[in-house]
Amino acid sequence: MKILLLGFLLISLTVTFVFWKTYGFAHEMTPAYVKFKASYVENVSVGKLNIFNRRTDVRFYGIEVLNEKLKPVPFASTTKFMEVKTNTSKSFEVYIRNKDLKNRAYYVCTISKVIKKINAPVIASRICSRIK
Amino acid sequence: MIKRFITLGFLLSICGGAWATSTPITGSVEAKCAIFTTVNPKYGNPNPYTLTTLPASGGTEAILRTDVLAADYFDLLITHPNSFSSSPTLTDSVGFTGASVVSAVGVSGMSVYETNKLIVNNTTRFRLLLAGATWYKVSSVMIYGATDTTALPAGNYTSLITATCLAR
Repeated sequence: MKILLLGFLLISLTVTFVFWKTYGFAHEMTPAYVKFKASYVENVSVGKLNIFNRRTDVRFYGIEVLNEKLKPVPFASTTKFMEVKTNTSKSFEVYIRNKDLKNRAYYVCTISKVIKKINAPVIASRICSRIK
Repeated sequence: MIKRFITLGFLLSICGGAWATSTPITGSVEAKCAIFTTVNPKYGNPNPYTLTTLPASGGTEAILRTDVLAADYFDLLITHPNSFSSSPTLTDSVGFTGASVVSAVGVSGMSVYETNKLIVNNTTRFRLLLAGATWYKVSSVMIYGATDTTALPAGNYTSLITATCLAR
Protein backbone atom coordinates (compact mmCIF):
# COMPACT_ATOMS: atom_id res chain seq x y z
CA MET A 1 0.00 0.00 0.00
CA LYS A 2 2.79 2.35 0.99
CA ILE A 3 4.65 1.55 -2.23
CA LEU A 4 1.50 2.31 -4.24
CA LEU A 5 1.05 5.65 -2.49
CA LEU A 6 4.71 6.50 -2.98
CA GLY A 7 4.45 5.59 -6.67
CA PHE A 8 1.34 7.77 -7.07
CA LEU A 9 3.11 10.68 -5.35
CA LEU A 10 6.16 10.26 -7.58
CA ILE A 11 4.03 10.22 -10.76
CA SER A 12 2.07 13.30 -9.59
CA LEU A 13 5.30 15.16 -8.87
CA THR A 14 6.72 14.22 -12.28
CA VAL A 15 3.55 15.38 -14.09
CA THR A 16 3.56 18.66 -12.10
CA PHE A 17 7.23 19.21 -12.93
CA VAL A 18 6.70 18.55 -16.64
CA PHE A 19 3.73 20.96 -16.72
CA TRP A 20 5.71 23.57 -14.77
CA LYS A 21 8.59 23.23 -17.19
CA THR A 22 6.46 23.50 -20.32
CA TYR A 23 3.81 25.96 -19.15
CA GLY A 24 4.39 29.57 -20.02
CA PHE A 25 3.11 32.72 -21.60
CA ALA A 26 4.08 33.01 -25.21
CA HIS A 27 4.34 35.63 -27.89
CA GLU A 28 4.40 34.37 -31.47
CA MET A 29 4.45 36.00 -34.89
CA THR A 30 4.28 34.62 -38.42
CA PRO A 31 5.55 34.51 -41.09
CA ALA A 32 9.25 34.46 -40.22
CA TYR A 33 10.01 35.82 -43.68
CA VAL A 34 7.50 38.42 -44.79
CA LYS A 35 6.95 39.24 -48.45
CA PHE A 36 5.85 42.72 -49.48
CA LYS A 37 3.68 43.42 -52.52
CA ALA A 38 2.45 46.57 -54.24
CA SER A 39 -0.24 48.40 -52.29
CA TYR A 40 -2.99 50.71 -53.49
CA VAL A 41 -0.67 53.67 -52.71
CA GLU A 42 1.93 54.52 -55.31
CA ASN A 43 5.54 53.62 -54.38
CA VAL A 44 4.41 51.94 -51.16
CA SER A 45 4.40 48.20 -50.52
CA VAL A 46 2.38 46.25 -48.02
CA GLY A 47 3.17 43.16 -45.96
CA LYS A 48 0.73 41.12 -43.91
CA LEU A 49 1.64 39.48 -40.62
CA ASN A 50 -0.11 37.65 -37.84
CA ILE A 51 0.53 37.86 -34.10
CA PHE A 52 -0.60 35.37 -31.46
CA ASN A 53 -0.66 36.36 -27.79
CA ARG A 54 -0.56 33.73 -25.08
CA ARG A 55 0.85 36.08 -22.42
CA THR A 56 -1.65 36.72 -19.65
CA ASP A 57 0.37 39.67 -18.37
CA VAL A 58 0.41 41.54 -21.71
CA ARG A 59 -2.48 42.88 -23.81
CA PHE A 60 -0.79 45.52 -25.93
CA TYR A 61 1.85 45.13 -28.59
CA GLY A 62 3.75 47.72 -30.59
CA ILE A 63 4.79 47.38 -34.24
CA GLU A 64 8.30 48.33 -35.33
CA VAL A 65 10.18 48.33 -38.61
CA LEU A 66 13.94 48.17 -38.11
CA ASN A 67 17.09 48.26 -40.20
CA GLU A 68 19.95 45.77 -39.98
CA LYS A 69 21.34 47.51 -36.88
CA LEU A 70 17.90 47.43 -35.23
CA LYS A 71 17.33 51.16 -35.70
CA PRO A 72 13.82 52.38 -36.59
CA VAL A 73 12.69 52.85 -40.19
CA PRO A 74 9.56 54.89 -41.05
CA PHE A 75 6.42 52.89 -41.83
CA ALA A 76 2.65 53.14 -41.68
CA SER A 77 0.03 50.84 -40.30
CA THR A 78 -3.55 51.14 -39.19
CA THR A 79 -2.17 51.31 -35.67
CA LYS A 80 1.31 51.36 -34.13
CA PHE A 81 -0.03 49.82 -30.92
CA MET A 82 -2.65 47.12 -30.96
CA GLU A 83 -4.61 45.25 -28.39
CA VAL A 84 -4.26 41.49 -28.65
CA LYS A 85 -6.22 39.75 -25.94
CA THR A 86 -4.77 36.64 -24.32
CA ASN A 87 -5.13 33.49 -26.44
CA THR A 88 -6.17 35.41 -29.52
CA SER A 89 -4.41 36.20 -32.76
CA LYS A 90 -4.55 39.31 -34.86
CA SER A 91 -3.57 40.07 -38.45
CA PHE A 92 -2.06 43.41 -39.30
CA GLU A 93 -0.59 45.15 -42.32
CA VAL A 94 2.56 47.23 -42.54
CA TYR A 95 3.14 49.77 -45.30
CA ILE A 96 6.70 50.72 -46.23
CA ARG A 97 7.96 53.05 -48.95
CA ASN A 98 9.57 51.11 -51.79
CA LYS A 99 12.86 53.03 -51.44
CA ASP A 100 13.03 52.13 -47.73
CA LEU A 101 12.11 48.55 -48.51
CA LYS A 102 14.98 48.38 -50.98
CA ASN A 103 17.65 50.10 -48.91
CA ARG A 104 16.86 50.18 -45.21
CA ALA A 105 14.00 48.07 -43.93
CA TYR A 106 15.22 44.70 -42.69
CA TYR A 107 12.85 43.51 -39.96
CA VAL A 108 9.20 43.91 -39.01
CA CYS A 109 8.82 43.37 -35.27
CA THR A 110 6.15 43.26 -32.61
CA ILE A 111 7.12 44.09 -29.05
CA SER A 112 5.11 43.56 -25.89
CA LYS A 113 4.16 46.69 -23.97
CA VAL A 114 4.29 46.34 -20.22
CA ILE A 115 2.63 48.25 -17.43
CA LYS A 116 4.94 50.92 -16.01
CA LYS A 117 4.26 50.57 -12.28
CA ILE A 118 5.50 47.13 -11.34
CA ASN A 119 7.96 46.66 -8.51
CA ALA A 120 10.14 44.17 -10.37
CA PRO A 121 12.11 43.63 -13.55
CA VAL A 122 9.75 43.03 -16.46
CA ILE A 123 10.28 40.85 -19.52
CA ALA A 124 9.52 42.46 -22.86
CA SER A 125 9.30 39.99 -25.73
CA ARG A 126 10.03 41.07 -29.28
CA ILE A 127 9.72 38.92 -32.39
CA CYS A 128 11.16 40.12 -35.66
CA SER A 129 10.28 38.76 -39.09
CA ARG A 130 12.81 39.27 -41.84
CA ILE A 131 11.71 41.21 -44.91
CA LYS A 132 12.23 39.24 -48.12
CA MET B 1 -45.94 2.33 -54.28
CA ILE B 2 -42.87 2.19 -56.52
CA LYS B 3 -42.93 6.00 -56.81
CA ARG B 4 -42.86 6.30 -53.00
CA PHE B 5 -39.82 3.99 -52.79
CA ILE B 6 -38.05 5.95 -55.48
CA THR B 7 -38.75 9.28 -53.65
CA LEU B 8 -37.65 7.79 -50.32
CA GLY B 9 -34.51 6.39 -51.88
CA PHE B 10 -33.73 9.76 -53.47
CA LEU B 11 -34.20 11.59 -50.17
CA LEU B 12 -32.02 9.07 -48.33
CA SER B 13 -29.28 9.42 -50.92
CA ILE B 14 -29.30 13.21 -50.41
CA CYS B 15 -29.11 12.78 -46.62
CA GLY B 16 -26.34 10.21 -47.06
CA GLY B 17 -24.46 12.75 -49.12
CA ALA B 18 -24.89 15.34 -46.38
CA TRP B 19 -23.60 12.95 -43.72
CA ALA B 20 -20.53 12.26 -45.77
CA THR B 21 -19.59 15.95 -45.96
CA SER B 22 -16.25 16.38 -44.21
CA THR B 23 -14.98 19.43 -42.36
CA PRO B 24 -11.29 19.82 -43.06
CA ILE B 25 -9.00 21.20 -40.40
CA THR B 26 -6.17 23.00 -42.09
CA GLY B 27 -2.86 24.12 -40.65
CA SER B 28 0.67 24.81 -41.70
CA VAL B 29 4.02 24.27 -40.12
CA GLU B 30 6.47 27.05 -40.82
CA ALA B 31 9.63 28.51 -39.38
CA LYS B 32 8.47 30.18 -36.19
CA CYS B 33 9.95 31.42 -32.96
CA ALA B 34 7.87 31.80 -29.79
CA ILE B 35 9.12 33.49 -26.62
CA PHE B 36 7.69 32.17 -23.35
CA THR B 37 8.06 33.97 -20.04
CA THR B 38 8.28 30.92 -17.80
CA VAL B 39 9.23 32.68 -14.55
CA ASN B 40 8.75 36.41 -14.03
CA PRO B 41 11.69 38.00 -12.20
CA LYS B 42 11.63 39.81 -8.88
CA TYR B 43 14.18 41.98 -7.07
CA GLY B 44 15.36 41.09 -3.60
CA ASN B 45 16.73 43.84 -1.37
CA PRO B 46 19.45 42.19 0.77
CA ASN B 47 20.91 45.50 1.94
CA PRO B 48 19.92 49.19 1.69
CA TYR B 49 21.88 49.81 -1.50
CA THR B 50 21.35 46.64 -3.56
CA LEU B 51 18.56 45.24 -5.67
CA THR B 52 19.21 41.78 -7.04
CA THR B 53 17.36 38.92 -8.70
CA LEU B 54 19.76 36.36 -7.14
CA PRO B 55 17.75 33.77 -5.19
CA ALA B 56 20.27 33.76 -2.30
CA SER B 57 19.40 37.43 -1.74
CA GLY B 58 15.64 36.98 -1.88
CA GLY B 59 15.19 37.67 -5.58
CA THR B 60 13.87 35.59 -8.44
CA GLU B 61 15.76 35.20 -11.70
CA ALA B 62 13.83 35.46 -14.97
CA ILE B 63 13.41 32.25 -16.91
CA LEU B 64 12.59 32.50 -20.60
CA ARG B 65 11.92 29.76 -23.06
CA THR B 66 12.17 29.84 -26.84
CA ASP B 67 10.40 27.34 -29.07
CA VAL B 68 11.79 27.19 -32.56
CA LEU B 69 10.10 25.19 -35.29
CA ALA B 70 12.95 25.13 -37.80
CA ALA B 71 16.68 24.80 -37.26
CA ASP B 72 19.01 27.78 -37.72
CA TYR B 73 16.37 30.30 -38.77
CA PHE B 74 16.58 32.59 -35.72
CA ASP B 75 18.92 34.37 -33.32
CA LEU B 76 17.86 35.21 -29.79
CA LEU B 77 19.01 38.49 -28.25
CA ILE B 78 18.55 38.92 -24.51
CA THR B 79 19.21 42.37 -23.08
CA HIS B 80 19.47 42.64 -19.32
CA PRO B 81 18.73 46.04 -17.75
CA ASN B 82 21.27 48.86 -17.52
CA SER B 83 18.81 51.42 -16.15
CA PHE B 84 15.44 51.58 -14.44
CA SER B 85 12.40 52.19 -16.61
CA SER B 86 10.69 53.68 -13.58
CA SER B 87 11.99 54.47 -10.09
CA PRO B 88 11.96 57.20 -7.44
CA THR B 89 14.35 60.09 -8.07
CA LEU B 90 17.91 58.79 -7.71
CA THR B 91 20.63 61.31 -6.91
CA ASP B 92 23.60 58.94 -6.68
CA SER B 93 25.19 56.69 -9.32
CA VAL B 94 23.49 53.47 -10.39
CA GLY B 95 25.58 50.45 -11.37
CA PHE B 96 23.90 47.58 -13.19
CA THR B 97 25.33 44.15 -13.92
CA GLY B 98 23.63 41.05 -15.23
CA ALA B 99 23.95 37.85 -17.20
CA SER B 100 21.99 35.62 -19.55
CA VAL B 101 22.76 31.89 -19.58
CA VAL B 102 21.25 28.75 -21.07
CA SER B 103 19.66 26.98 -18.12
CA ALA B 104 18.06 23.92 -19.76
CA VAL B 105 17.89 22.40 -23.21
CA GLY B 106 15.31 20.31 -25.02
CA VAL B 107 17.87 18.74 -27.37
CA SER B 108 21.35 17.79 -26.15
CA GLY B 109 23.07 19.57 -29.06
CA MET B 110 21.72 22.90 -27.80
CA SER B 111 24.33 22.97 -25.05
CA VAL B 112 26.68 24.66 -27.56
CA TYR B 113 24.44 27.75 -27.43
CA GLU B 114 26.08 28.66 -24.13
CA THR B 115 29.66 28.24 -25.35
CA ASN B 116 28.98 30.01 -28.68
CA LYS B 117 27.06 32.98 -27.27
CA LEU B 118 28.21 36.50 -28.08
CA ILE B 119 28.06 39.30 -25.49
CA VAL B 120 28.05 42.94 -26.55
CA ASN B 121 27.50 45.41 -23.69
CA ASN B 122 24.36 44.19 -21.91
CA THR B 123 23.07 42.10 -24.83
CA THR B 124 23.73 38.38 -25.24
CA ARG B 125 23.19 36.81 -28.66
CA PHE B 126 22.41 33.09 -29.01
CA ARG B 127 22.25 31.41 -32.42
CA LEU B 128 19.33 28.97 -32.38
CA LEU B 129 20.93 26.19 -34.38
CA LEU B 130 18.40 23.46 -33.61
CA ALA B 131 14.63 23.12 -33.59
CA GLY B 132 13.03 22.69 -30.17
CA ALA B 133 12.79 24.34 -26.78
CA THR B 134 15.57 26.06 -24.84
CA TRP B 135 15.40 27.73 -21.43
CA TYR B 136 17.43 30.80 -20.44
CA LYS B 137 18.07 32.33 -17.04
CA VAL B 138 18.51 36.11 -16.80
CA SER B 139 19.89 37.82 -13.71
CA SER B 140 20.17 41.49 -12.83
CA VAL B 141 22.02 43.22 -9.98
CA MET B 142 21.92 46.93 -9.20
CA ILE B 143 24.20 48.64 -6.69
CA TYR B 144 23.40 52.19 -5.71
CA GLY B 145 25.99 54.78 -4.80
CA ALA B 146 29.67 55.01 -5.57
CA THR B 147 30.70 54.15 -2.01
CA ASP B 148 28.15 51.33 -1.63
CA THR B 149 26.61 52.81 1.47
CA THR B 150 23.94 55.10 0.08
CA ALA B 151 20.48 53.78 0.84
CA LEU B 152 17.99 53.49 -2.01
CA PRO B 153 14.96 55.75 -1.60
CA ALA B 154 11.75 53.91 -0.85
CA GLY B 155 9.43 53.29 -3.81
CA ASN B 156 8.79 51.08 -6.81
CA TYR B 157 11.63 50.08 -9.10
CA THR B 158 11.01 48.64 -12.55
CA SER B 159 13.57 47.57 -15.11
CA LEU B 160 13.21 45.88 -18.46
CA ILE B 161 14.63 42.62 -19.78
CA THR B 162 14.14 42.41 -23.54
CA ALA B 163 14.14 39.09 -25.38
CA THR B 164 14.22 39.41 -29.17
CA CYS B 165 13.77 36.57 -31.64
CA LEU B 166 15.41 37.71 -34.85
CA ALA B 167 14.84 35.88 -38.14
CA ARG B 168 18.22 35.28 -39.77
